Amino acid sequence: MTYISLHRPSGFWQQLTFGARKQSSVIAALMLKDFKARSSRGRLGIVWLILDPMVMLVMMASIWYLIGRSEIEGVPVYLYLSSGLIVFSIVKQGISSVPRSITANAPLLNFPQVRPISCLIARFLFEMVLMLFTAVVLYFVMWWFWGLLPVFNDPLGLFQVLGISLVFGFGLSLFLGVYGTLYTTVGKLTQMMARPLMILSCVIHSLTDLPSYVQHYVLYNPIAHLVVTARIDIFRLQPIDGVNLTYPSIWAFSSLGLGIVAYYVNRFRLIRE
Amino acid sequence: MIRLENVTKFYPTSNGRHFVLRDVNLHIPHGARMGVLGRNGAGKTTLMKLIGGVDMPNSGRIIRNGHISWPLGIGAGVQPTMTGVQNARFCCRIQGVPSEDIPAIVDGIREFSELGKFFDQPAATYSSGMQSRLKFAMAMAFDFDCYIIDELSAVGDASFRSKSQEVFREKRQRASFIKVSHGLPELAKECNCGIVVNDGTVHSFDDFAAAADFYRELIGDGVEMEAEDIEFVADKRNKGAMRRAAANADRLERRRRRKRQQQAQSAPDIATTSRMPPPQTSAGQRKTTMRTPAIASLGGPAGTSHRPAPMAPRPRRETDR
Repeated sequence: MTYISLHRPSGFWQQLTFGARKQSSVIAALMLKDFKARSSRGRLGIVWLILDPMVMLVMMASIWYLIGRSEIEGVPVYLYLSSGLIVFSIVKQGISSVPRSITANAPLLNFPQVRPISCLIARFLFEMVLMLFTAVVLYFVMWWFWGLLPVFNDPLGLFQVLGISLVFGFGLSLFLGVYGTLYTTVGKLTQMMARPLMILSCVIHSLTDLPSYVQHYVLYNPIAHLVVTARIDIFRLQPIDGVNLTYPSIWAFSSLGLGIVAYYVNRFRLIRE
Repeated sequence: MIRLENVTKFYPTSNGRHFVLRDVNLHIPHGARMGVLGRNGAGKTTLMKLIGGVDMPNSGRIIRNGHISWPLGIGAGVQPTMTGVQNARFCCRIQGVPSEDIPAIVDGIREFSELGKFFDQPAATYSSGMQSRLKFAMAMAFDFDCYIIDELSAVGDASFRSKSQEVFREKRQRASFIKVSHGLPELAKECNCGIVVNDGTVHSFDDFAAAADFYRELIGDGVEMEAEDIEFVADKRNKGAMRRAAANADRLERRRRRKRQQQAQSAPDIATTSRMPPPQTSAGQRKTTMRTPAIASLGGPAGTSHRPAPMAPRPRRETDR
């Protein structure tokens, strides 16, 4: 049998960098583990990872084509829907997939290097990398087959939207990851409440398609602000009154703060669970 | 070296806080071969998790010097959805093994665990014995300064067991270990010191025999041990152990009778019963089942001097409370 000796450095900074390197290797190992687990589901495991959002996009676009519209607010349906879908999915992963990562990796928490927060970070990063890859493939397919390419009118504004979406998604995943693991009812309730979120976040339609009194209520949803602002930044659309990034930013940083507090308060219980 | 300073660990329950450990101070020096004893639910596994860095104390601090293994337990450590190879690779990665060294380590684990084609199958398809073999092989692939073994010593079939004991014996030459087990003879053979976890307190002993004696006193009639085990250990360690074992067995037997008589509120008083002649202690009688006091007097490892076990029921001890 081959053995390996493990050495721990002695100095403070050496220990710090050693610890950081070890944690990053833990997160990388967990990401790889998630990839292996996801891609080994069936023969077309890895293909389904990318095909899944594409199929959803095609289905949503088909509805618009069936009612005779190939453009929404002057933007081709595929481009319009895909832009909203990507921003929405960043936040949605924080509600659906990521919170389950602690339970999914429970046997690995026996290793002192693996912490519950490592599982959440690894799953979140994995989902984001997967989404980035899917988005690239999606836009490549749209460009290849239909010659469609987004304009990216305001890239900095788009980065801002994506940044807030990432913070919001991770904050939600931290909060729901903690309480969803401790109380299974929380997880189930969240899943149930998240079902109509795609419609309420203006992913499959434009905000302007809705009556003004409905718009008022939809704009209580911070994800709708992110989706609409992303489209404005990408396609040079007309700004809409009441849509801004301050409101979703408050939600994003509040959820991140609450998530960190929730994790800190329940860190002992999470290991035990 | 591992040091626990005023460590408290509790779990919230519907009836308030359940204190598993309360203000525990413990020092485990390098080279210690420590046996951990305690009733079920006393907090042995929690203590192992704390020492291994898996869990955190509610208050107090734990100072760990050197490279300490994860707790090798029956429960966790293998992800069922991953194959044996993936589990082994994962283990290497989180230990910070350079990627170029991983294939050699994984091959070593494959060979040692003797899982054959199952090594490439998900761990969910393994039997509990196979999972334990994989866990043991993964832990033995690394040179730790201290191994934490939580009831995962005798795994697999006879050949695997002897092989793993051989490897572990080799590891013991340069590493310390902390071992939880309910098998007193096994611990007596391997350990040179012991602790007993009871009621939130850790009682530490610089001699495992004293720890075992205290443990037996603690649990009263709960532990029984086969006479063959006693003989085996006694022959190995101490020629006089059998004699003391017999004496201790007699003492406990007398105490049990006394208790029974008191309960029955029968006529003879304690003084009368205590004057009863001791029962026969021939080898033939001991062949059946015997109380464990013999193990208390067996002492430390072979070749080292040890204190003779006290005949009094309560040995000298340090209470870390």
